[in-house]
Amino acid sequence: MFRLVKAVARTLFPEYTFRGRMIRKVAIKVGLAHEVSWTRAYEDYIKTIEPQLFYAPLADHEPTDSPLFSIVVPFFNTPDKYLRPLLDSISNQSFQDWELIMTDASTDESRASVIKEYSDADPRFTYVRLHSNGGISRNTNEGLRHARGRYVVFADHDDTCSLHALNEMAIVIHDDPDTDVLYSDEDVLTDNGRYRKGPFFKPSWSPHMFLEMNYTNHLSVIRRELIEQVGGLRRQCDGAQDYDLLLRIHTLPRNIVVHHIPKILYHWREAEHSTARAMSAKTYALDAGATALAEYLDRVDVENDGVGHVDHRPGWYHIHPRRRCSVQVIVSVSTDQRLNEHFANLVRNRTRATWVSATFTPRLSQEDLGEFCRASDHDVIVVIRSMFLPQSDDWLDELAGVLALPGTAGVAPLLMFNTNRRVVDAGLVNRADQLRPLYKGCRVDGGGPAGPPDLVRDVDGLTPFVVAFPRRTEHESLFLSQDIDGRGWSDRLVLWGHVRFLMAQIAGRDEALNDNLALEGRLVVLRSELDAGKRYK
Amino acid sequence: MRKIAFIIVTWNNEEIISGCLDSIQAQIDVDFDVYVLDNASADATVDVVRQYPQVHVVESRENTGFAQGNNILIRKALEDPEVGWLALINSDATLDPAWAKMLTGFAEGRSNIAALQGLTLDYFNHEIVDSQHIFVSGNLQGIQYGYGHKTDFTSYYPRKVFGVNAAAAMFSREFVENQPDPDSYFFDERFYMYYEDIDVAFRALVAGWDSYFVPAALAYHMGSVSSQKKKRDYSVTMIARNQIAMIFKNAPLSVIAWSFPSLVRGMIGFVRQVSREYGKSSARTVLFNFIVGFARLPMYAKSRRSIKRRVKLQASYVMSIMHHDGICG
Repeated sequence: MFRLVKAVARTLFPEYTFRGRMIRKVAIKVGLAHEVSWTRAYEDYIKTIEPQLFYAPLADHEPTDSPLFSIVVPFFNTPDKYLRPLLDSISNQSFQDWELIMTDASTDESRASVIKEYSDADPRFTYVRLHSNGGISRNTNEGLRHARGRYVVFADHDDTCSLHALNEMAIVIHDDPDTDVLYSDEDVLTDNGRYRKGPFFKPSWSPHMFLEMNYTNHLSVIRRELIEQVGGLRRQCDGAQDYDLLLRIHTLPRNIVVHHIPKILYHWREAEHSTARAMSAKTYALDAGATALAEYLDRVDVENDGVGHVDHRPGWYHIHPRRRCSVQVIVSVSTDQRLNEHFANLVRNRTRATWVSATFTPRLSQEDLGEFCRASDHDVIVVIRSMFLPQSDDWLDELAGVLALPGTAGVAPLLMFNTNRRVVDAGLVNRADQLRPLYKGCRVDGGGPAGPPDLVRDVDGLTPFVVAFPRRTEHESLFLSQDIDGRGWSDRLVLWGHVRFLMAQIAGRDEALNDNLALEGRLVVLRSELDAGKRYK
Repeated sequence: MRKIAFIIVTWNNEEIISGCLDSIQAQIDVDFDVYVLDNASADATVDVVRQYPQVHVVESRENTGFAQGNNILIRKALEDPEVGWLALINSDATLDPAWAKMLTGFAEGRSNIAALQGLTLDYFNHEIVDSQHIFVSGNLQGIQYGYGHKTDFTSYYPRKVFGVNAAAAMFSREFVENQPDPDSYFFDERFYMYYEDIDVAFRALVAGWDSYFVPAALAYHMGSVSSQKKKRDYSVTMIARNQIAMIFKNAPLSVIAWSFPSLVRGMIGFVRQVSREYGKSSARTVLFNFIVGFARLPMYAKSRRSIKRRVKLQASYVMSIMHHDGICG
């Protein structure tokens, strides 16, 4: 019922119109809707900041016979209203040295003739007619066969690019000729192409985040040599074929150089049938992505408990890497050893470890923790230094498993208040040469232009509250009780958003030591913490 | 290589016409003819033109205006089957020697071209741009893109645009021969002067023809030399009248409906600006001409219907081009 009302309201008061804005304002006033403050900020960004970000066109890059970029777009009964903006946005690129390969598998002959007609508009367009539709992978592979460029650019037939996209890419490649993979930020275009919204400002290359979703798409540029090396796209991964391709490229036995361009170079159209609008409608695509991830885990030789989906975030995957090992959980939350013991018991009661063997050690002193960890004979050390309790009981299996993924130095769960679902700690990132907390005080299930807070992230630093790391770690700062600074490490620090810890505030230290409370065996949550989110903002 | 027909309409331009014709004679690597129509000049324009041997001169007995004068010449030029391009040059414009070569070179391998324009700079100060292309903005005003900007050669690149400025532009034979509108051969003669090029541009755009801006071709334009010899507020009154006609002839209905409030706002702003610059009586004339523009709309109803039949572009895409400074994509 509520959904129906919402749908009717959306049709009557469309977003990005005057009346839509007014009704939204009223809804926020009466508390029916949340204010999304960055929507307006993004409009300002498009007008004032974005035009200044783009570089001037590279000089001396006339069209050649062996272009730098081959753009491959598979067309399939593409309607005119999507076809023209896409072709114009490619034709009008400020960088000249590219070719566009249009593979057309249209079943409707009249559509095919229109697409063919448009392909004459620019001599750099190559039209390839396919007489049978072999699915997106085979159609794209057919286009790849005609590609002559050093790099391949994939685009969808209903989206558009920024006019400076290839120029920005070419400048990065010019600066670092070893570049293998490039990706840029993206946003969403309304179906009629009039408005841009929902920007996604991506982090720099984050291999662990890539295992949760194919965040580098679009616009992604891949060295053609690598695509040929892995044998192109695979039919069985249709729908997530580009994800599968990159996952296979990243397991090649060579160092893949990935660069990120922090500018919006791709506009993903919110077409009725497109994944941007209804991710859940494309279940076959989701299954294909899960298959691709499972095969990736097999290739990198990580045991796993299958690949699942995140219920409230369509399009996200939840991989369950696992590792058989022994784990020592050190609980050092207080200067009072009784409280430490009590808390260690609580954590143990909430832990169901099936893959790892866990030992819980309450520990008073933090000063010789480094020595203690090194002397330990367990494979993985988990340190809990603050009063947070796991939300689900498989947390220990999960954190130990993440450490089995290649290139992982340490992992931390997402810490949040238990009463208002706001973030206490979601890792630290480097900003202006300082480690700053990310998403502190934001709603965990909210969204944002840099992705939601509960995304798996490769972070620059971790707070020491709850951390897991392998015992034989070469990174000294993991043992200390300060913020862990991972800048400059080759291995990554990971914030694993699938595991969440809830704050367990105790009703006063003295009462916690009260025998009755200890016997009762549970913690009392202060209602006043409801307001804590506001304070943290 | 297809022949280029240079088409010039003159009216009392004896001082400047030789500069224009000299720069055409200096064009390199192209095969061309020059056609000049003189709109009953009172001065020695015809004598100056007659000094150039290869120029076809047409002397009109009365002042036909810019639109009709061009149409006469285009008809005449197209009688020659070798002519593939029609280069419309204002009498107050001069060309770089490689202008025609650059434009025709760019067109090679591309089909479906309606028009091409080079980078048109200010004649007196080459540091300043006269126009890159023309377009109809979100509030339905005709705008010369780049007018008054500082010249920055590093930032230009060839691109598909809304339309070209007829001060110095090249139209393809295919486009001119495929006009949808039976009431106007090429330029709409009912416009007389001003906005007829943006009318053509809009017509070409909605019918799916491509127009390009090619920065390698340079031209230099003085601007409004002919109309300056008329009354001071002549140009603004013509703009007021023709703007209404241009919009209602070509724009998709949803675009008109969506932009109507801002059109009215733009009209009020225009009247106030004229009142500031030319005085109250001019403002009254402009206001009157807006009303005349609306009153003349039934005259264009047939044209609108025939243009509508050839529309290929989605109204939403037309709108998004209008909002992106007339740059496609």
